[in-house]
Amino acid sequence: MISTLLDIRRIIAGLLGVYGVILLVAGIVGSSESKNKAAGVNINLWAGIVLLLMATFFLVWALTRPLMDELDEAEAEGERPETAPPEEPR
Amino acid sequence: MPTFDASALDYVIIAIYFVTVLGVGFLARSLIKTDLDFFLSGRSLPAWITGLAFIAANLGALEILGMAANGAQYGVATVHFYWLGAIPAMVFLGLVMMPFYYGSKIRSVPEYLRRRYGNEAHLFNALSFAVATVLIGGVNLFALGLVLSLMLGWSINAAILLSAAIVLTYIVLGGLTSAIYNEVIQFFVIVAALGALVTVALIDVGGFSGLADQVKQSPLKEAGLHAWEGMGIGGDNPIGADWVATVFGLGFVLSFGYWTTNFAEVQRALSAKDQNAAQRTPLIGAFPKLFIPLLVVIPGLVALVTVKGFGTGSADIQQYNNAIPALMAEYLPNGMLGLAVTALIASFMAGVAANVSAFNTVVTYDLYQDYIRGDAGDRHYIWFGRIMTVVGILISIGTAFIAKGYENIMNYVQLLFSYFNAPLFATFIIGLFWKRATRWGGVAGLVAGTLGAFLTHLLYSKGTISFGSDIAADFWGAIVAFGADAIVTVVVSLATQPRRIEDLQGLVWGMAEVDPDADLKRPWWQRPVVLAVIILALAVILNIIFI
Repeated sequence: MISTLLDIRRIIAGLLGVYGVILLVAGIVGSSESKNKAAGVNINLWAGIVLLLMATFFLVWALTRPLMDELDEAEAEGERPETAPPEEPR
Repeated sequence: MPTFDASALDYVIIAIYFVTVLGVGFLARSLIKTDLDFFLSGRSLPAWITGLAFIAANLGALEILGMAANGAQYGVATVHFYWLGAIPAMVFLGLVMMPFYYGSKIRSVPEYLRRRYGNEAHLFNALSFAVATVLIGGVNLFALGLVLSLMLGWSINAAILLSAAIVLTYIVLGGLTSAIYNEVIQFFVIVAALGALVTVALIDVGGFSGLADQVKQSPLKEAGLHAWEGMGIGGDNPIGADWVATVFGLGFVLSFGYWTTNFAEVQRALSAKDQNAAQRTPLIGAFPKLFIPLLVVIPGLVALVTVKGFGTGSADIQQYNNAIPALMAEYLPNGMLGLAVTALIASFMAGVAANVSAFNTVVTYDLYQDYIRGDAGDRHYIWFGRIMTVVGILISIGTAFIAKGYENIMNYVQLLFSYFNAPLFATFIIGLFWKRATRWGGVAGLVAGTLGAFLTHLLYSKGTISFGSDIAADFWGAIVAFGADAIVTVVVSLATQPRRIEDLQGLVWGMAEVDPDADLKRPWWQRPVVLAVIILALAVILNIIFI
């Protein structure tokens, strides 16, 4: 449980996701002054979208390869060398 | 420095960051069972985490603000601090030195010196590193207080104490693991914020070609767009250093000294889960390092061409160090502004945390365990490490004000490095490649090198000798320190008893503890040699583009 919470990819996804939502909303409801301040670019909106994409990337990575699988793989990797078990005859 | 109109929205974004880093500290606490867990994350982390932490530990706000200042003052030539002043050394650390560091199972950089040379060199290095580290931590802390007080109108003392308290809390709780995790988080926040700022700034000045046209009209002129123009001996270039000083001073001595022997960096690699991951740590860090100049040099140049009187006027907003804050005030609306301020705060805190987590490890392992109490249990050393974290932060706060007297904060940091890191690299490299180097050669060389750097600085600041610029003086100081260390190490070694060859197993060239086949079984993207070739090729190509 703790180690799942401590998966850094989930923490990054959470933080960037929250920031993304905040900026996206600020970009949509903000004053026209704030939408044009950045050389005419609505930077809150665009940065919000990019942050949400980054968050999605980390979340997908964390979900498709959970920490436990990675740990198992790392252990398997450590044991694999030299003495691979002989293949079972079919 | 411009004062921002920060709104509640910006403060919410800053507060979310503080809560996150503290939360990581609380979670990481549950992982700590042994002293190795506290000081080296139990040597368990995957390469991508240690690699990003490796680069983030270096991506402090001093670096960001200082390099943007250099970008405005010296132009594109600032890339030398990256492609020449970092990349080769990072590759060398990963390929050549890491097998000795990780393979010999040392827990700190000074510990290598103890095994290779003996207690004298070790004690000298452990003490000087501990002092330098808290001084640099103090510089970061002071700069953080200054920036926050100027940008947000906070009291400088309150800003220092608040950020020190946050760093203190998460390191005391989670040790190196929380420092590293927060560095990785910080990396993404910084890249997102600076990436947005650079994009907007570039759009405003008409893209790369628009920026280039305007830089040609600026005080930097055409030379501001080239890395190598005027670098011939006696030539005239914005940095004021010829290619000898730049290549040997920055590219070799300062850079190799910093990247390969600075424990605040190497510690990240030592926390990797195996030797392959440790070797890949600086190599993975090198990829972002190649492109960070985009994020700092461009804001410097844009500030130069858009802010009236930049670099010449006396107003806060016209100072080189304020290039990035000036653009933030100019372009970023509330919301994005909060994220950018968060990125600066995060990078300051990461700089302090990297130094404090290196400090507590060296003091605990290399001073306390080796010379005062070597027989205690894990819990005792974890307890001691936590106490030393508090002590380190307190000293950092106390010394923060040394930085006040210096105009360009980056030069101050370079100065500290030339005292402590530059000679160190000579001692390491000779010890690594020359079996004949002796116990007394090691310590005599270190003392001579440190004195050499100190004397060069003294003579330069008194005006007895002169160099092209402050930066050139740092480069030459480093060269002198390295030369003095190398000569004294060799001479004293030849006059004293060599070490027994059995004692050098795993510590010198040709005797590394490595499995020569281990890397060949891996896919190409996990093989250090392949990564190194790609990185060096990219660095060469980038240098040619900006020649």
